[in-house]
Amino acid sequence: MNASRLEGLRETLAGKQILVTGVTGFVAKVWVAMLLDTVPEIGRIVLLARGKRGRGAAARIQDVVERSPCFRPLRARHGADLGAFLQARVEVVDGDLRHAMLGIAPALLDSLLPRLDAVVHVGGLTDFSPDPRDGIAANIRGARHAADVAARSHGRRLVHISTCFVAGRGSREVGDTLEPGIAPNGTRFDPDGELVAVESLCDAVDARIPDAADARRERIAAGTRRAEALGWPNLYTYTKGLAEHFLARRTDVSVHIVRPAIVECARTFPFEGWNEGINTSGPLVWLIGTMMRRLPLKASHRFDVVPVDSVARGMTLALAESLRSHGAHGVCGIWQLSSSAQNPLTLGRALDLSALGWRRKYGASDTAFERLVLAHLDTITHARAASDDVVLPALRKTTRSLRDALVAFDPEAHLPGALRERFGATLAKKAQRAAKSLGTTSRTLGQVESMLLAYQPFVWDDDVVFRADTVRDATTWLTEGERATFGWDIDTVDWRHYWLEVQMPGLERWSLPLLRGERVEEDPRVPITPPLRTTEAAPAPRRHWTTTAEAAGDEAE
Amino acid sequence: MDRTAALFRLEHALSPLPAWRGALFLAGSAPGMRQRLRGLAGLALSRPMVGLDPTATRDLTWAMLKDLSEDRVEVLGRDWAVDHVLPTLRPEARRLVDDCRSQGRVLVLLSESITPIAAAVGAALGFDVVVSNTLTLRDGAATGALEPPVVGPEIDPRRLRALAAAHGFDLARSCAYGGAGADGLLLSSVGLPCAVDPDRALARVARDLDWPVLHTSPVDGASNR
Repeated sequence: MNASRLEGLRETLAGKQILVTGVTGFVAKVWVAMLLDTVPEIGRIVLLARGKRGRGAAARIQDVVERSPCFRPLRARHGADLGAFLQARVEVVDGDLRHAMLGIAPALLDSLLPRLDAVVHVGGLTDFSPDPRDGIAANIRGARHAADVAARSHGRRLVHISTCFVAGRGSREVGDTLEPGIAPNGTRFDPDGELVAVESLCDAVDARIPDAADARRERIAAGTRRAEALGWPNLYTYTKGLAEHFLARRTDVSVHIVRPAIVECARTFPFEGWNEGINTSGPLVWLIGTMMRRLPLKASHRFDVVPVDSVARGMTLALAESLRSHGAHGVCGIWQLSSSAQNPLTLGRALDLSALGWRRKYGASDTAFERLVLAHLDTITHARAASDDVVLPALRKTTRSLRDALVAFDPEAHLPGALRERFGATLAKKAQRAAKSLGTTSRTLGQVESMLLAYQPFVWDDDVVFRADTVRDATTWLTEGERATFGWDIDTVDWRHYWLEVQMPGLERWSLPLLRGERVEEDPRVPITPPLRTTEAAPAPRRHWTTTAEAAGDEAE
Repeated sequence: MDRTAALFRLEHALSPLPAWRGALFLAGSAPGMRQRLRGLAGLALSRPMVGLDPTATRDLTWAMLKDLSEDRVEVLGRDWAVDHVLPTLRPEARRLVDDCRSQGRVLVLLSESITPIAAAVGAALGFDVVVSNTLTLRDGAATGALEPPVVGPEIDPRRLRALAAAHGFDLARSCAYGGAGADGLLLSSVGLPCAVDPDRALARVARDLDWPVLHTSPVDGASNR
């Protein structure tokens, strides 16, 4: 038995100072709030954020703490004392993960690095198809910059949040492993060479296409082709995957890679159903509630959903494990946080449960159409992949043609004199109204088509089982009491209850309004005093930090 | 055995809705149109057979739920109970349940329906024991068969005795409430039988054996048998 493991998780985290990136995002927000709630013994959490729209990092984070529903448990527990509680445990540092040393001012780094025990890098871009330049900057360079900061810190530890889907294409069982320099399709590759290649590709596109929007589209298409050539289904998994391969080469820092699967609504923390933004299952669930009857997905495939608070538990375990090791370097642990191996949910079951959820909602509706028609519609699986579907594109083209025809409708030209005088004005008005409605329908169908194509690798092509052995093993080391708070708990999820009572109401409250173009209201502001502290410069002499790669001149931002 | 029980038949005694109506609701809520039509047609065909062979009719009724997912059976079964069965419960019957509870009796609900339906009703009324039918499941979907022992129109006296032994109540000092002719066996197994809105067959038996008969007021919108 590893003697260091005998130490309790709370003792391991007590007094430790960590830097966290990406705290304005969904996962990091929940994790930080949960860590503060469950481990108040933590020394200091330094939150890296960048100023936006004229507001500094501290103001943005202050806003999150004062208004985000994610911080409700902390606000409820500490009330008026929350400011003092956070003042002792949280500080904010201005930075940008796209820049060297995370864009932290050198003077602030002098103050931070000697006291940091670990860097937890959660920040990044989660779009499936970002502009490759943005994806590289946020997901690859961001990870390298976080590793650079970690390598120069006191603890020399990095916990990097990735995704299970870096495993790429192919139906198989994927373990908590990483083969450096081997792409998902088995191709041996050099991450540096790959980065140069994809950037050259972007440069070539920019030189060839003058229009910015067209160039961006072409960069995405070219980048996606590059990703697919190595076995990654899209630019998100490609950039996250490359980041892992870069980190695997680091010998100056101990790296723990945490790979959540599909992160969805919270089971208990901050409260049942909490979600933020549009996550993976949101559009699918929304689609099942529409007139759309056939979905191109394979019912038997796993839908690897993990509640966000389970992910937060796994992250805490990974951080504790990282803090327990001393003097280690390289990739020391890979933590897949997934459900498909232990407690699988299939796409067919998720579809069935979603249909039942909508049935319930529409059954109680005041609208006759919802109660009498939509409540009784059930979505069924399509026998063709989204890429082979002819119905949806045909439907979209037809609605667009109809819209174009209606837009072009001119009573002066298209109606005989008698009819024109009598009905011309009314018909023209009705035609314009119908054209507008058809335009919206056509756009929605286009979005659905794109979404289904983007999801195809995950819901049609491949059925992957992600093992979660590391996090399961780590749970066995916890004491009974700690297991209830920090243990990996995916095997306790009752999917029926979760989907109907947690996930669907959560999506309905926090995510689907965004798909409908509506706003999701945050909590009324509860001002905290004193305000969050910001990192202050150390009196020590300033040093100019550069990364090794930048010193070699190949990574100018 | 010093405990006593109150045994209630869900169908006919507490609610006028027969068990097959629940099956109809579930079959009509199958995910595919073909499956829905198959279920509804099967149920329509099975109804005229009920007088000839009640057992075969019951088997055919629940066989119409073949391939329905466990989730669908559970969720829609509960919805049927909450939205349709509970609103049809007779106020007098509810009062009877409350009275028996206040007398300290073990409350037992007997139902020909499947467990998700009976359990939801039992939970809503605070029953201690629910005896109902369980659909056999394979790979998360119903096979259409009921798991033995099946609760039929007539309760098996051996099963009743086993139930009394398991829960430690004395049948001779227990009461039972039924409404259909087939409930005669149940009522004759206890010391305190009571016919609730009995059909013609049970009314005759009740008259012959001098059992008390309770007539309740119908609930609006509740259809009979």
